Amino acid sequence: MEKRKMKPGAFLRRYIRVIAAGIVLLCIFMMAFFAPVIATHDPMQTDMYNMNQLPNEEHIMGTDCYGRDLFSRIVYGSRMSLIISITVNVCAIVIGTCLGLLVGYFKWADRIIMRILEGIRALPMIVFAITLITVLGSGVDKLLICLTVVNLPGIARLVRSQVLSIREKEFVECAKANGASNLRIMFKYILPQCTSPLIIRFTSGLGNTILTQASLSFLGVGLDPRIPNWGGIINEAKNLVMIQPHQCGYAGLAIMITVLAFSIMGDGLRDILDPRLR
Amino acid sequence: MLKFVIKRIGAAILQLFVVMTLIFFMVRIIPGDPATQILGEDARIEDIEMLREQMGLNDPIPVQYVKYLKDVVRGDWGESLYNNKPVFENIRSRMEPTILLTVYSVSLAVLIGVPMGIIAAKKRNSLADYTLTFFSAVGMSAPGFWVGLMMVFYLGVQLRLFPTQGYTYIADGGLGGALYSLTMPAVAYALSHVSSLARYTRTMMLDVISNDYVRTARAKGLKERIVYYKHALKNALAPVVTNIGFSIATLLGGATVAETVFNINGMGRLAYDSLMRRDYTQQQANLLFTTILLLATNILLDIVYKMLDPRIEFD
Repeated sequence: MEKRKMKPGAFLRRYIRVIAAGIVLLCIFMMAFFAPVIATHDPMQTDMYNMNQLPNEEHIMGTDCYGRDLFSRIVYGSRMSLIISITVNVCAIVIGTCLGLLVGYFKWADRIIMRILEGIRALPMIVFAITLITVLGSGVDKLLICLTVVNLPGIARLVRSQVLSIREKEFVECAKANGASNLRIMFKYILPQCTSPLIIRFTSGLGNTILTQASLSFLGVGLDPRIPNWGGIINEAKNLVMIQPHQCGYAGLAIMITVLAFSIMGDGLRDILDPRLR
Repeated sequence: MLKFVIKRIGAAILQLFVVMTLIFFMVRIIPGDPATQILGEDARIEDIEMLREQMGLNDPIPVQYVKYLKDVVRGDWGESLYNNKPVFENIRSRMEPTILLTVYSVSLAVLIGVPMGIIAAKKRNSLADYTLTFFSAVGMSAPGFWVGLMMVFYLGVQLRLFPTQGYTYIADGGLGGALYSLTMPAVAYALSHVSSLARYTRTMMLDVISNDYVRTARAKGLKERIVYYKHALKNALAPVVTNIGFSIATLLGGATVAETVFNINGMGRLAYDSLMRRDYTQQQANLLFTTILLLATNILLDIVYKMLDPRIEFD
């Protein structure tokens, strides 16, 4: 490995992406938090006299096919995207890490649990997700379960590969010789070594879950369409795309900017936390 | 090599068995009685009883499970509850657009993404590299269905370059006509895969050229072009091949969304419609069939991987 010296300004270059993405994300989180202040109208208020309006002074992004203010719906929509994405990824990371530690550490668990997870991974994701939601019945809780299940195999595999390389290291052997229990070794010695890849995975996972959830809402699966959410807005506007593309346009831009910020954040963190990968 | 192939196929069969089990139990966890769900709350009790009998729901679960496995292995995948045709016939009539769309998008992604990644790695830290990296991040962040809808408006409605809806079958318009009708969906869905393949190729190239053997090749005076395109490229491309498998899986599985945007009557649409009609036998078959397709492509790609990089051992 060649060593590269840090040039002046390299520090800034190293952190610039994390800072830039962080500012954008902060704005999006503020938008979600202060949605009632920012929104100009009630996002659920239908108005049959003002349907499908083009952007104007009263409605800065126009109105949808029920006369609801699009700007307000997009502002409120950020809440749904962020809450779902964060909940799913926290759950998936916690469960996936436990499973990963288990299958990496115990051979018997590897045989059983990893087989099941590999099975889930072999299934076509979107089709599997809509099947699972239809079978479970719609509702936010079902959507959360479904998106978590879809994320588990990847995280478990990631942790498993880390565990497999770490558990052969001397300090683990040393802990074993000192009589540490398996549980203690797993959580106290091995888990801290896995944090960097998990942080990176968590950040990029947030963006990916927003995309998956938007695809499901676009198909009309999962969320109640009355609750403002970005995928749902595009679903309701898709039949009008040939006449009023702005209805889909703004919501899609909102998704894209958010996902982009998360993925740049993930890349930036990767460079900082794991310099071996570029 | 033969040993590798046999081991790989064995693993896939095991995986398929797990998938079959998952699919079997997925339909059994429907809250309440599936027959009542399918026919609705106010169906006659005799009808519900008949459907239960037809679906074999009256047997104990282990008996049902063994019967399901046996039927699937024998090739008897059951009949659709919606139109009473054999499920496989329904799938076959919808296969053409979906498979063509997947092949088309993957080809676009590979033909554009991989060279882009190679160039970005070659000119590392140049303006071209930064631009490429940034735009690939943008491409990966845009939802495919949204890109598709925007293309419908700008390329289809405004510029009238491509048809906005539907699919021309090969039998009607020839291969050219079929590809023409699929161009917009293919481009819209290839976008994020172009980006991810470009990034992955770039990372792999950078990884490989920092290896000692590349330095040795340079030190013994080989031309830079030969070092780069002959020694480094082959080793960098091996893991990229596995990533192509991931793209195929996402595209084939995500066909539902693409087909909804562009009104294409393919397998993805069939999966969606079957679910809306509560046609669970059809949906079981849809899932299983797509999984088999995916497992088969993955075996093929792993063999290619092994050929490119013989050091790979079976995990």
